[in-house]
Amino acid sequence: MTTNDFLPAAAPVARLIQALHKLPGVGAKTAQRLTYYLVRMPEEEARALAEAIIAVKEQIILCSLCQNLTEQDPCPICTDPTRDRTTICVLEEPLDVLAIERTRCYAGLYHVLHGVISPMNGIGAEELKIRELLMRLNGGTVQELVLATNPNLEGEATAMYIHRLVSPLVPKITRLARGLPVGGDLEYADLITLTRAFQGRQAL
Amino acid sequence: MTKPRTINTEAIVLRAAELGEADRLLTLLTPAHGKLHATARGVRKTTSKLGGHLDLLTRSALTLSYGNQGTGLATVTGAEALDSFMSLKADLRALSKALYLGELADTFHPLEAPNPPAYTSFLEALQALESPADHDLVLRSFELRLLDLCGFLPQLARCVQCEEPVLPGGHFLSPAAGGVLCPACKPSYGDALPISVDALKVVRYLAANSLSSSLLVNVRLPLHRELAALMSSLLRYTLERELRSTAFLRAIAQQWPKAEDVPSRTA
Repeated sequence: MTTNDFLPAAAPVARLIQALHKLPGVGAKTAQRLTYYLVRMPEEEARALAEAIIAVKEQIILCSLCQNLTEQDPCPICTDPTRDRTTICVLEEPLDVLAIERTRCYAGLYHVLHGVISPMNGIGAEELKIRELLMRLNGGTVQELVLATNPNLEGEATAMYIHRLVSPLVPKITRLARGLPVGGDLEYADLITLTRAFQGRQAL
Repeated sequence: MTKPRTINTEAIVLRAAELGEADRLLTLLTPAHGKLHATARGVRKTTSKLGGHLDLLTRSALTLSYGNQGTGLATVTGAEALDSFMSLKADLRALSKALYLGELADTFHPLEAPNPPAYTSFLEALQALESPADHDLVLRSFELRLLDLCGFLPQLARCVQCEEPVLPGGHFLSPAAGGVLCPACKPSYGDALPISVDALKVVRYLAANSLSSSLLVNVRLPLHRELAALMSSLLRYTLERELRSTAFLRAIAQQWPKAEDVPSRTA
């Protein structure tokens, strides 16, 4: 979609529509609605939004250890002396770190891959932060690696690939348990979920 | 003619792209309706009832709903997995091959063009990758069957230029010419690759026979390499590009050349 597609709109408006349309999950209509909302927004709010976007681009960097988004390098989690430095949890995206931190059940370190192996989309292992993970593991202090990629085909493929690469370096490699979700109905469970739930059943 | 508002069909999920907050845009291969696009709403949430039935390379019984006039993009309103190919998905080497087959099927099938034999051929290939069969032979058989069913199979019995029968020895395969060339006609085509008698025999046999019959053929490693190079050249010419998944396929084969090198499942 080009600026010409929004010719009836003034040039700055068309440019903003085009910019918003590039965001994930934002279609042409949503981009138009957001743009006209922003046009009507008080100037100080619009300026604050623009400054927030620029601040994110200027101040946010990748932690040289865990590859998570951070303002300081190393990030607060990597420098926290109370965290368990012998365990690393491998995740696909920075948002996954927030999800696990919310549980308050994990006190180890993280490693963010920034994606997942997706051969059909041309994304291989070299596009991910796997080399950085291997460098961290070469130190020999890590006792457990938790592979917490998503439980779908591409997440499983990535977990299998990393497992093969790091098995000589880490004594214990684990995968997050897969099974029935809280609030779900057994009758709607698919074959793989139900099979994994049975395989992972625990004594009461 | 307007389409029915709801269709019930079996389908294999070829692609799944993230859409919106928690939806996915699926590319499905069906026996009676060909390749279709459909949205699956809310399937990225852990509480989704449909999500587990719609993972990549899963064969499911689906209910697809269209808009009022039976037009627009279908929405998946019901799904039940028929075969999740669990053992295939737990083996990195087999999985890399299955993903390659999936991209091949996706690339060759136009939207809404039913090709039931091609669907059956894809399903049989996935099932064969779960068995201890020669997986490279599964790939070659599927490639040739797909070329045949989509009308791109090269001429293999006679020289494509002079139409003389192919005799043993000294022949070439030219993707640009669309078949085998005899030594006399070879100079006309710069892309012609030498093809051994054994390779030509295997290619002919795989193209003419079912997968189960093809898997009875015993192919040694040097011949496998020749067949892989020939088919890669043929497919690259036909599609005018390299398939994206070939890089992963080659990387896995190079890093872990033997099946026992790859762990079957993560701990």
